[in-house]
Amino acid sequence: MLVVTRKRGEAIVIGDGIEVHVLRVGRDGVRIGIAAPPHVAVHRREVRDQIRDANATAAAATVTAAAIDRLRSQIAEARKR
Amino acid sequence: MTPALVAEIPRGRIQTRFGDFDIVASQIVTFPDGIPGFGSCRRFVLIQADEISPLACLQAMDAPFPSFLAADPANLPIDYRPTLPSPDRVALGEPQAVLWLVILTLGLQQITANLRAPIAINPSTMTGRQVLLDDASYPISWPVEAR
Repeated sequence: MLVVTRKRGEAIVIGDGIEVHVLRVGRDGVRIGIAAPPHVAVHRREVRDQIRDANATAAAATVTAAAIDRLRSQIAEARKR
Repeated sequence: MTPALVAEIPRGRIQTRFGDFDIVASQIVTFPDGIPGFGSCRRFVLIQADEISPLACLQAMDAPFPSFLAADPANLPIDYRPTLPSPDRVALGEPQAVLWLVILTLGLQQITANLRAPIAINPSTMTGRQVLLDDASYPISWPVEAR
C-alpha cells in the first residue's frame, strides 16, 4: 500500500482523472473530497461491505415453497390496500 | 446443479433453489462487474415465471451459482423510485428505460428487501448492475411483510 502524508488543501491524483482532496483534518476524522469521471463509482467501503454481506445472506437463505407462497400472497394482499 | 450447462445453448432448463424453469438465451443478463460478494458471477438468468410471479429469480450461471429471489419494486407496498446514479448510467450504456429489481432475503423472522442496493437492468442490452444508492435513508433490510 502506498502511504503518503498530505496536509489540508493538498491532493492525490489517481490514474487519469481521479483526485482525492484533503479538505479538513479534525480530531475525529478527515474530510476528503473526491473528483472522479462520470463512469467511476465512489462508495464508502463499509456500505459496499454491508451490501456484500447482505448479498451473501440473501443467497444463503433457506427458501421453501411455502415461504414463497406466503410472500406472494402477502404482496397480493398488500397491493389490494 | 448444472446451471452452466445452459449457457451456450439457446434454450434449456435450469435448476434453481426456487424450482426448475425453462429458459431461453434472451433471459440471460450480463453483469460485467458481478455483484458485491460474487464478483466472479457475470451471467445471471432472469426468471419471471408464472410459478413465482410477481416475484423473480436471478440465477447465476457462474460459480458458485448463487441464486436470488427478487421483486419488481412496483409490486411492493412502497413508493420506491430510485434514480440511476451517473456511473451506473454510463456502465449500463445510457439506458432509455431501466428494469429495477430488489433482492429479497427470506429470514426466519421476516422477509426483507434490499432498497439500498437494487439491481438495475438495461433491457435493450440485457446488461445489469447492482446499484449502491447514496441515499442512506434506503434500508438494506426493509421488511416486506405486511405490518
